Amino acid sequence: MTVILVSSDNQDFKVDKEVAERSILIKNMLEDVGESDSPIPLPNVTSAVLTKVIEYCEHHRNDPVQVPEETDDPRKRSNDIEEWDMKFMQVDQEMLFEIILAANYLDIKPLLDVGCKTVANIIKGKTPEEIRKAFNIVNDFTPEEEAQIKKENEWAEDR
Amino acid sequence: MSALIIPELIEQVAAYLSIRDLPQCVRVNKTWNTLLTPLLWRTILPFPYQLAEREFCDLWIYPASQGALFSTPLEADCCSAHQPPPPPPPPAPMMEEYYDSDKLHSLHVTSIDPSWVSALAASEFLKRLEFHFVNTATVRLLGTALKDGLPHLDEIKLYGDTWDVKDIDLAPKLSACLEILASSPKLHTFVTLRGDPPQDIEVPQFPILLADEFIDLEPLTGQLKPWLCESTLQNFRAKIARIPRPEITKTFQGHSLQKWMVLEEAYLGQGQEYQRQAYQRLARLSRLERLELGYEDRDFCEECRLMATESTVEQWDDEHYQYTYLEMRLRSGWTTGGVEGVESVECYADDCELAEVETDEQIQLFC
Repeated sequence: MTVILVSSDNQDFKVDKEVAERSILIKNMLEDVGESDSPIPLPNVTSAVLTKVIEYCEHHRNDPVQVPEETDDPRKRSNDIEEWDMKFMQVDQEMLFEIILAANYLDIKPLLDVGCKTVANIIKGKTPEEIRKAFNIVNDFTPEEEAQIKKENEWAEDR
Repeated sequence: MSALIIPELIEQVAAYLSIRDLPQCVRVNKTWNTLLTPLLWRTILPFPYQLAEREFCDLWIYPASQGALFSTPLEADCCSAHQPPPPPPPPAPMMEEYYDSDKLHSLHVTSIDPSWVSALAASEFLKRLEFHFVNTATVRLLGTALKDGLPHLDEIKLYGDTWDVKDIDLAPKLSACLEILASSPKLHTFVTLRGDPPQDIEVPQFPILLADEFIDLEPLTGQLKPWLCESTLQNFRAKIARIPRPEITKTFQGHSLQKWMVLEEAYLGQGQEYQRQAYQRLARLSRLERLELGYEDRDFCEECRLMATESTVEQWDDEHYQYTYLEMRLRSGWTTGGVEGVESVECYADDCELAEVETDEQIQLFC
């Protein structure tokens, strides 16, 4: 059985139901409306991003459903990314964030995790200025404020 | 415009950042700072994660430069839970977790922050609690956390190792400990004296208990408040202070009392009254086996005394010292009534000559 997903720029994507249901949002929608051939509009996702997301879902169509982790302790989480996922995430930064936002919207937890891990790996080992540069973030601190914050958190450096 | 200004997204990503990256991240911009600072500080201390839910039985947290703490989980080794504390604390790792199938029952820490209060209060399996380098804030928080008692807590050790801190500065905070004594049904050990005197040569300043609070009278009836640990406490080692010594009425810095000398004692005999009540309190501790009070380095004091010039004698005998510690002295009314089970008593006064004479008498009494 297939379902039709419609991107924000009105492109139709015909995918297997099993693949589409990697998205909890779509899965719940399908359960709510029951047997229906009507296309599912995804107004927050462009066709470019949806193509990538479907590619991910196709590859992971047979993965076991991820159980929500009880522990929210960040230290217990691993930043390891599978090789296929790593290659999949080798996109420009704009697309990377589009994928993360789409994964968040469509409720595809494993994809969201991979995206966030990828971003976290970019941040690792960088100075604040390098982080700003990497992500095009404006520094809204005065030099005094930044010095103060540096001082407050100095004890945690080099750990 | 970057997507990394969306708070939800920053938080999602932050979950995968290590503590090494967070100090840099909180400096990126105001949004990052607001969102990530709590994460950074929470990461350092293992709270407010519920202590009771952690899967380790013995937790050691050591002080390090600027109070930084860092976690290094170790392999399962429940035997290590009983090894003695390593003095002095090593610079790293700052925190070791001994994993065991049991819940946390032993905690060794330095300072704590307010986030520990609810965590400690909920640590129902906690049996041993040991604090090093205690400071005022820590003991106050500890008192708040344990004011309702913990059902299994049987041992509390509080060490103040700092030479810089005067006893008297530390005293008010230890009043919180008395709430713990009063509300702990299983407590068998309460220690604020470090080391095993008199073998230990280095004698740091100890946190002390205030006599008033140790006596702990019911405000309405004037009777001693019952403590839940009365029938369990076996090992009590502490310094009780702020008891005016009766002899102060006769001499002051080696001289006769002059009219202009204002004494802390509000009326004559107040000192005796304090001591009598303190002895009553001790007598209620029916299981007491080891009692150690007001330890000072006697050899050191004695040496000073022998070699002393007149001025140094005065220094040892001046007002501060006169008023300091509870002296377990027969002539001030101490009897062994109620503490027959005591096997070891060590009581020291600053006035060494007197103390020595009395120690002999006490030895005869207890042997």
